[in-house]
Amino acid sequence: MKLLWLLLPFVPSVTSQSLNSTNPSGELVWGAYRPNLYFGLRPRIPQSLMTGLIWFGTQDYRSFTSKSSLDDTCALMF
Amino acid sequence: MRSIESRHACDQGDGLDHYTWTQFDAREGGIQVLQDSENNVKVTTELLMVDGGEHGGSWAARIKGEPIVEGNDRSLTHIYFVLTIVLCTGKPSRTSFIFYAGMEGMGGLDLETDENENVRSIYFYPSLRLNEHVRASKAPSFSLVQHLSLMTLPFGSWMVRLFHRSP
Repeated sequence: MKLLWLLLPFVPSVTSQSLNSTNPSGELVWGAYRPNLYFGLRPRIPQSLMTGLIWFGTQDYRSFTSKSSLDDTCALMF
Repeated sequence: MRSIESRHACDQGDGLDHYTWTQFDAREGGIQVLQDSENNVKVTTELLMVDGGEHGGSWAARIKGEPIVEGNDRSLTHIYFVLTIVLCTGKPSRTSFIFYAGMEGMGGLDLETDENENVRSIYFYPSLRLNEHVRASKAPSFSLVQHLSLMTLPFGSWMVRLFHRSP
């Protein structure tokens, strides 16, 4: 059975460099400011909110599919 | 059965055909298109931002997925039997999306959804310690909206990763 792991590796806390901590209500606070991700939004405020997008195909997750959708998969494959 | 890679951090090894912002404005937002043939899905992320207020404005994000190759269903397989092999080597588009949010500091998050009857909370870990991981041992139904909440070390949410493993 496939297992889904959510792993949070830990390293010592990183002190975020202040981006705009003195003016959180200024311009350009929000944006896709996580350029290493396909889609990640955050404000230019240290230690605040971070969002991110993850996606993955479930077509090979036979153990995760219900009986009926497994049947559909088999019907497609055979 | 091979393992399945998730798409999260930009990685050439993911093998996306291409991805780019087709429209972008630093103040108003934009539209990004990500072509993922391996999963037979074209992902579109839309970001809309509105200035104003005391918190740097408001924003909304819409993420949608469309199959790149349509018709990977059983009825088509029956009708176009000759094409069955092609359809089977091509993947059906069954993509699961995770949009996560991490609070690093005071405050909280509330989940509101139009699918209240279908929402299933899988886990709530009050505290996650060093080198701990969360294992989704229950077989979730991908037709449901599901949420998982956990607490981690301070300022660790940027390190979140998703791993799939076979037993």
